[in-house]
Amino acid sequence: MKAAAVGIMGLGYEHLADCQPKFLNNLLNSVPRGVIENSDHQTPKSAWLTVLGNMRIGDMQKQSLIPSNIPLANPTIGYPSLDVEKTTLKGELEAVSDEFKRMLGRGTIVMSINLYEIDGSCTGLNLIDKYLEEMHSALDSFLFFSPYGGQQGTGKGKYGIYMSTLQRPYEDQTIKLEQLMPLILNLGHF
Amino acid sequence: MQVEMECLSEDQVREFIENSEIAVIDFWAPWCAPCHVLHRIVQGIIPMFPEVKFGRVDTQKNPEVADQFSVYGLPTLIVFSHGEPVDRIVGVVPRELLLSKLRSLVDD
Repeated sequence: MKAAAVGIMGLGYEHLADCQPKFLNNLLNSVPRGVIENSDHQTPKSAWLTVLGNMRIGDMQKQSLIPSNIPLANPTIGYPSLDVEKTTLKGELEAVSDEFKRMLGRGTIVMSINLYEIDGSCTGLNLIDKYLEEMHSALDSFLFFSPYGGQQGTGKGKYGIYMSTLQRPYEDQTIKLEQLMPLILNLGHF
Repeated sequence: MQVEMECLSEDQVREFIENSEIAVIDFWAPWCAPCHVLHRIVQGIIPMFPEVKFGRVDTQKNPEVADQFSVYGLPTLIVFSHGEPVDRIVGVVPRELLLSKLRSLVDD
């Protein structure tokens, strides 16, 4: 089973409207989708801590999860382990893509893309779009999500994206960060 | 800078429509992914139509308003002219289509 969960910090549906990324817009219309709602954990670290819940990084391997570039510290946790202050979005995408290819099929890859919320450009999103398309083509099951949206005034948008091979937990509700880990664990079972 | 749209409750919708020559209501729900995409598209065209009033109805908070206007799919945009519905758009539509529909109404 080739499975991956990829979190893209700071990506909102508004970016899909503004930048028209071809792959993500097509994916939105062709797979189970939803909306992440999260007002309280709007930094990469606090968002991931909430997604991981009680699971420590050391426990992930026991669950066949492979952490990649998780921003619980700087440099990030897992492989690649990047210094977010010294990396560009392009550099980050190249590094996580290499690791993705290396680890594909060995467990569920749990990956974070952290620098889009700093970049924020349509050029940046179109680059992400290209890398996600490549990853998607190699996967049997996936979850692409963002724990919060883009910059809005002094804060961040409370809505993030959710596109997956798995249906959202409740049809007429937004998805909360605490609901993601059971879904991530399920990715490897389908 | 995106223009925020007025969020309308059940009590406000009728007055909003009747007091506008042309009004556009965006029916949406927080869990509806395409609703967020369409919202952004609508936000982007608001400055081009100062004579049109734009509002939003959260159908999760106001299901009776959705029933009242027979909204069965999300997102739905309903265009009102002089208080009467004259067009209904269901789903995400390209910005250009939305622009052309509104321009034809405004120009009439």
